[in-house]
This record gives sequence, C-alpha cells and structure tokens, in this order.
Amino acid sequence: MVTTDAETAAQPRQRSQLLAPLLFLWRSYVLRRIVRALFSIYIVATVVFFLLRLLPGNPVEVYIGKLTSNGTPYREAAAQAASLYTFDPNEPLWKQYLDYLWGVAHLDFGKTLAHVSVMGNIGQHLPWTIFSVGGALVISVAVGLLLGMAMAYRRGGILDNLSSAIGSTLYAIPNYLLALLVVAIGSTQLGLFDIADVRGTHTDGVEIGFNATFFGDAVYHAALPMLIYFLTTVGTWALIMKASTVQTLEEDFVMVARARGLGGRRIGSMYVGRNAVLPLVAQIATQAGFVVGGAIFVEYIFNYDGIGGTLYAAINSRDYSLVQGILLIITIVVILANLLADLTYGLLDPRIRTAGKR
Amino acid sequence: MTALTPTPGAASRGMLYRLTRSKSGVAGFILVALIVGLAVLGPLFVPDVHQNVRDLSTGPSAEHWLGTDNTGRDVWDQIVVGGRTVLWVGVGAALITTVIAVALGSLGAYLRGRTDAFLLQFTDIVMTIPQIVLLAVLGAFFEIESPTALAIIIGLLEWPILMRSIRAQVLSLREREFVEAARLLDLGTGRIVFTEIVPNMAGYILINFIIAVTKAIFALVGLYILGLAPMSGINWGIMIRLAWKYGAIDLPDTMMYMLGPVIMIALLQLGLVMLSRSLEEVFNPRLQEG
Amino acid sequence: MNDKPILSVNDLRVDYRTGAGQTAHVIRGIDLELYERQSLALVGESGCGKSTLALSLLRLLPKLGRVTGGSVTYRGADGTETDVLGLNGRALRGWRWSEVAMVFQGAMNAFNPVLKIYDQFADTMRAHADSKPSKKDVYDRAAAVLESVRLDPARVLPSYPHELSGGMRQRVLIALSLLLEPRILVLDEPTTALDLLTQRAIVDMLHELRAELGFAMIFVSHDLPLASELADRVCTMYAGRVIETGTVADTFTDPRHPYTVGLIRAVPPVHAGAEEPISIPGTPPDLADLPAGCTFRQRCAWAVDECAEAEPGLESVTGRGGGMDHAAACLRWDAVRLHDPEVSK
Repeated sequence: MVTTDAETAAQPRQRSQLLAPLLFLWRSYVLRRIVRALFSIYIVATVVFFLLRLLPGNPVEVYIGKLTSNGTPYREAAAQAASLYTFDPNEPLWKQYLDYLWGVAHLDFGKTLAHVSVMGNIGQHLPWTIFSVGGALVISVAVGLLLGMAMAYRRGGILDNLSSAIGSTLYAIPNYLLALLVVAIGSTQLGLFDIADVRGTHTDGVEIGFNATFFGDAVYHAALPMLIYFLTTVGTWALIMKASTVQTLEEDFVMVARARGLGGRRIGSMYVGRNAVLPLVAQIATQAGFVVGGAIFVEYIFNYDGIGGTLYAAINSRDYSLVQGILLIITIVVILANLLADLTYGLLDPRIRTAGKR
Repeated sequence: MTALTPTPGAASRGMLYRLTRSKSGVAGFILVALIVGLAVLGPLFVPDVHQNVRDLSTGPSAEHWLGTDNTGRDVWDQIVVGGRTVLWVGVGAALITTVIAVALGSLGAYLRGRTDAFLLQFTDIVMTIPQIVLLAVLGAFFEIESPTALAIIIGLLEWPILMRSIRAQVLSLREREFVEAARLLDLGTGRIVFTEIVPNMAGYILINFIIAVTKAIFALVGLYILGLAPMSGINWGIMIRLAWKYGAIDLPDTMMYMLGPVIMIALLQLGLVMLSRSLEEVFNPRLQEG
Repeated sequence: MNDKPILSVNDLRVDYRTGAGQTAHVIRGIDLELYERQSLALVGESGCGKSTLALSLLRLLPKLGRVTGGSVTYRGADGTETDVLGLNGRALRGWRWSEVAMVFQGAMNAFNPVLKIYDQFADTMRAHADSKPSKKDVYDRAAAVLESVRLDPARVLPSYPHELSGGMRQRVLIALSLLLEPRILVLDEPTTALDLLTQRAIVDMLHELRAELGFAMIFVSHDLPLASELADRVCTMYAGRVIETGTVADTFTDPRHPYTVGLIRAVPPVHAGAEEPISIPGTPPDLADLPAGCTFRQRCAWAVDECAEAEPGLESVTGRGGGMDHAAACLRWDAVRLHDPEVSK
C-alpha cells in the first residue's frame, strides 16, 4: 500500500466537466438511497398486485359470488366489489395495474369489506405497533449496545459469560413461545398479572389524548408485548455489539488515543463506541423489519390491536384489499426504516458522506 | 479459518475435536440429537395416541404423564408423535433456502459485474418484504394442504440473508490461490464454483443451514399458532394452536398440554443455536479468543 | 547536556500469553539509558521485541502482555524522578504525551475515522488542560505544530483522516505528537508503508524538528540505513534482549555481534556492483520455548560448543573494563568481523 500525497484526495475531482453534475447527482449518497427505496416500493407493489390476482379464487370473483348467493343482482354485486378497489375489475389488466399504482402513490388502497378506507383503518392500528415495537426496539438497542460494550471491555468476566448465555437462550426461543410462556407462568401459575385485563391496546373508557392517564394506560397494555420484543432482541444486540467492540478495541487509533492521555470515558464513547456502532446501523433496520413481521404473533397472543393483529383478522375474514394494504404498508415502513438507517449511517460515517464509492 | 484451508479432511477432523471441547457445543449437539431421536424414532413406539373420552382435560397422572387434552388424548403420546412434521418442514425448507442461497450467492460473487449487481438488487428487494407477513398471507390464501408444500414456500422466502453472507464468503475465497490456480487451468465457472469454492465453504454452509432450520421452524410454528397452516394430523405446532384455542393455558391443570410442545420447540431451537454458535467459534478462532 | 539520563530502563521483562496457553518471554531483561537530546535506535527483525519495548515505555501493552519485572524511570525537567511502571489513572494519563509522545507505525489507522483532525487535536489538549482550552487556543497551537511539519492548517484541521493521503497523515501524526512539547518522542517504524519520496521528506523533517525543539528520540526500525541516519546510538535487539549497543559509527563499521553483522549484510546495496545482500539463515527462536545458551547460536556462523552453555551478557568490546560505550553479548566478539572472508563465502 503505497500512497503518494496527491493521489487520494484529488482523484475524484478530475472527471469530465460535462458529466460532472450528473455524476455528482449519482454519487450523492442520499439521492441514490432514496431512488433505491422508491424502486423497492414500486417492485413490491407490483408483486403484491399480481400475486393477489393470481391467487386461486380471484378475490373479486369470490366477493361477487358471495353477494349474488345472498340474492344481490350480479350487476349490483359487481359494482359493489369494484367500489372496494382503486381500480375497476372489468377493465383490462394493464389499466387495472396503472390505476392501482396511482392509488398506491396516493396511499390509497381502496376500501375494506366494511366499506371504510383501508388507509384509515391502517392509520388507526399502525400507531400502536409503531409505539410498542419502536419503543421496545429503542430500549433494546440502547441496553444491548451498552451491555455489549461492557461485555467487550470485561470479556471473559462474569458479566460477559452470563449475558452471553442468557442472550443466546433468549435469542433462540421464538418470540411467540416466549409470549406463551410469559402468559402461562406469569398469569396462570404465579398470578402476577391478569391476562384478560392487560389485553388490547388501552382500557375501555380511557380517552385517547395527550394526558398522563392515557399514556400510563397505553404503557400498561403495551408492557407485555414490549417485554417480549425486548427480551428476544436485546441478547442479539449485546452479542453483535460485543463482537464489534472487541474488533474496534484492537484498532490502532484506540491505542493512540490512550497514548495521547485521553480519559477512558472519551475513548469509550467517541473512539470505541462510535466506531463499533457503525457496522450495526444497517442491521438495526433489518432487525426492525423482522420485529414488525414478528409482531403478528405477539399481537395475536396478547390481543394487541396493532397492525399485526389487524392483519390476522383481515386474513381470516378474507379482506383482500385490507391484507394488500397492510402488506404494502408494512413493507413501506421497513423500506423507510432501511432508508433511515442508510442516511443515519451516512451521517455517522464521514467516509460515506464525502466519497462516492462504498 | 481452519475450515477455509484447501484440505477439508484434515480441517474437519480438527473441527470435530475442537467441537467436543466446547461445552455449549456438546450440550447443543446432545439436545438436538435427543429431540431428533425422539421425533424420528418415537412414533415407532407409539403407534396410536391413547384417547380416553372420559378423561377430558386432566392434569398429569400415572396413566397420562402429561395429562390429556380437551378430547381426552394423551399429551405425552402427542409430543412423541408430533415432532416429525416440524423437523421435516424445518430441514426441507432449510435445504431449499441453502441451495438457492449458495447457487445465487456464489454465482454472483464469482461472476461479479452486472450479474452480481442484479442478483444483489433482487435480493435486497426480496429482503425488504417482511417474510413472516408474506408467509401468513400466502399461507392463508393458497389453502396449503401439506406440510411439504409449506416447506417449499418457506424455503422460497427465507434465502436472501443467507445469500448475502455466502456471497461475501465467496468474494473472499475467490482471491485464494487454489481458486486462482483453477482459473488458470481454465476449468470453467460452474466447475470452479461447485468443485473448488463450495466445498471449501462446507463448514460455513453447515452453520448457515442450521440457522436456516431454526428460522424455518420459527415460521412454521408461527403459522400453526395463527391457525394458517394445515390443521390435520398431530404435531407440536397444532398442539400449541389447539391448546391456546381451547384455553388450556388458563388452567394450571392442563398447562402441560400447552407447555409440553412449547418446551420441546424451545429446546430444539436452543440446541440448534448452541450448536451453530460453537461451530462458528470452531471455524472462526478469532471469536473464541475475544 | 545533562549528565543523568532522562529515561532509564532497568532489567525490564515482559511476558505475553499466547493462544495455546503458553507464555512467550518477549522482553527478557533489557537495560537502556536515554539522555537529553539523544537519538536512540532500536533495530532488529520483526518479533525481536522492539515494538513491545516501545509500547511498554508508554504503558500501552495489550491485554495479553504483562510486565513481569524491572523498572522504567523518567527524570523530569526539574529533576524529579517518576516510576513509570507505578503510574496509574490520572497521573499516567497526564504523563503520557505531555512528557513522552509516540508516533506509531501505519498512521493510516492512527486517527479516529469519524472525528475531524481538529477534534483529535482538541481532544488531546483538553485531556491535558486543567481548564477547557478555548477553540482559538486549540486552533493556534494546532496550526503552529502543523506548520512546523509543513502542512496547511486551514486545509488539514477541518478534514477527516480519510481525506488526507498516507504521507500527510503521517505528518499530522508527528505534528500531533509535538502538540504538548514532549521531551521524548518514541517513533515506531514511522516511515514504513510510505513511498521513498515521502520517507525522505519525513526523515529530513525529523532532523530539523529535533534540532529546533531538542527532544530526545527513541526510534524503532528494521530499516538500518534509516536508523544510521536518524540515530546517535544503536541498540540491536534479538529474541527479547539487547545483544549489541554502540554509537552509530561503531555499530555499523565494526559490529561485534554476529546478528548485527547479519543485519548489515542483509541491507540491499545502493550502488551497482556491490556485494549481493545476504539474508540471515534460519528463523528467530520460539519465545515461548527458548533454547539454552545463546539464542542466536543456531543461525550463527561463528558459533562454537561453548555457545550452548550459557546465554552471554553484554560485554564491553572496547577493551575489558573499558565501559559499555560499545558492548556486545557474544562470547566470540573478538573474532566477529563485518568483512570476514571465511564467513562471507
């Protein structure tokens, strides 16, 4: 590795004058990530459209069949079915596809079987999931990172071995089994809480609003799902962070920082911590997607009225437009989480910000 | 690093030896072996699940070790009989996942350029769709009849993460001398990938296969709990579903109907994870030291 | 010049735990003295313990390493003596860099990649100041040292490490090491991994800086020509010990330890027509399982049976009892010559 003084810094700047602005745009990290995210959303939307139309028993036909068997005239039934979608099932497929995409672009996913807006329905349930999953994830990441660093600093110690063992065990047990165990042991055996009481997102009669009563109640009801999300993810974070910290501790700049007489806290936070977290940022987003997916089980078991529970209900009642909407929205949330992680990574790592290449 | 040297035979001998020195690795192996043994051989000893319609939802007794379910069937018998499907789907799906991931990952990394970029982009997009959610939707709407079909669907959805790590692995293997040598001999891409590169990743693939099994079992049992998988026959997933549905969890007496299969699956997953972790330590001595 | 050394190392011993549960004796009883304004070179093959010695002077040994004996004493400008191995916590942090600074090999990774150069200078000043220095103070002081290594502070300070070339980074690191005006500068292979032109520039710069600022230098290198250029005295290290010590002139023109002879012969000739470089046969001994007697004996052309009996200590070669100005740890120092027709065949 021989580098001359002029080489590294100057090269990217001397490119064709004409292409410069275009290249700059392409090189722009932020822009590329956004384009990629939009492209991903488009592909997923397309896949979902064709997937649901290819399913055995075209959902539109099934719905019409149900109505006509109840005595509704075919024409009326067809019109009613069509009114559920953002496209007309009688149009040619390409027209349906374009109308559908147009709807997706406006976050308009049609109507549920109960003839309310799918997006409105999602809007009612998604915040609960974002609150419980997001909250648990923030706590889990924070605790996991600190724990992982502590384990790396004292590797081989009691804390390290104990946390590793507990972390691996909790990671291994599927979240829904842990939820069942918590219900079985905590509620039925020990009577620590009444499962019937903590079910749902909030107690009936508590007004939703910005006040302490509501917030306390929301936390009370979200506590068990959050506990499950927390327990099943915190060990993973601790273990990944430990590995990353161990690697960072071996870096030259950490030793140089010690030689420079810096205090342990400064080295731990800005030299070790920040560099050790970098490779984890992307994983946090991937993991977030996984937890949102797993929410369907946990919300089902705790009867938590979030997006996962709604999806379960929608699947069971064959509410196609709602299922389609939720599938898309969850995917979009995951893609946006990834985008956010990419952008955060760009902010945290100056090497990404300036250089165009990875 | 041992696993990556061009002499797989010598490496695997050292590997087995080192594996026996890792306590959690041995424990994981024993756990997995016991559960697999029970699931595979158990049904030979329990041809019929005992059913006694007068003993509905009883607690553990001398006659019924773990009690009976709400239709009077013996819970222990069901546990003995009900492991096969779970294992079959787990292993089957993991095989499909691994084959796809190894094929795409090594081809992409080996050919690089446009093929690689395309495969990577494709994988990234598949990865953003929450697999569990899509699986639930497909599971419900396709009205899957057999566990085998379930294994195929799970296998077809779970490969992206594995593909990325295989690709990274091949990228580094590609630079090794023996691959270089094979390329100079002009052995052809497919041959180099599958006779030179893949065998040298055997250990790595094995670890990822085990992880894929745990993921497939996670998805499968999850689907059963939601009631979105075929509910015919007896297996641990169905047991949990029915126990949950008929409120076995609310009474301390019938608790074992729920806890039995839950504990079996949890132990199986735990054993598999312990096994894969210590294999990882064996293949990657750096981790051990840390 | 002061008559007492500013740094003295007495019988220093360092062990490393190795992966197989063994103990490698990396430093096995080293004595060193560094005087004010002196430049001392530690030379030897990689693995001889020279970098470990440098690290242990600043108490920077990795977790696996441990000082098992000996002492390191630092004499401050006011004459107070500091037991370096006994320093801890605040006192150690305060002593590091303000009294002894270190320029590491591979400056590529010496800087925190996520902090601007300015912040890394500021961090260093803050760590050693009683009250938080102002931005202007930091900037002025950093600019002064950067200018002394001929870098443009306005360009360097707001940059991230990756935006600078390898040569620039090495200069920034030297500037950073001078930030607190230390009395001793330890340089561990400061020019390895740099191209020849940049190496040249750095060496010239170090000469000037030393003349101007008057710090003492401990210079670790496997590059003998470089050592001869930068150092006043040379210590040759082998298997964790100093096996020859002397002035640059003595060591390079009349080496008396076969290992030093081998190192000099292994230097590639600069001009054409000279003798081919001859590398030393064999490999250094296993530090976890040292042979009895002289550790170099298996690779040595002068070795005799007595060499297997006991490990020889440093002995003056300027005549018995004539001081340690030039000393070698070899039974046959009398017979060893750089140009020995019999051995060079």
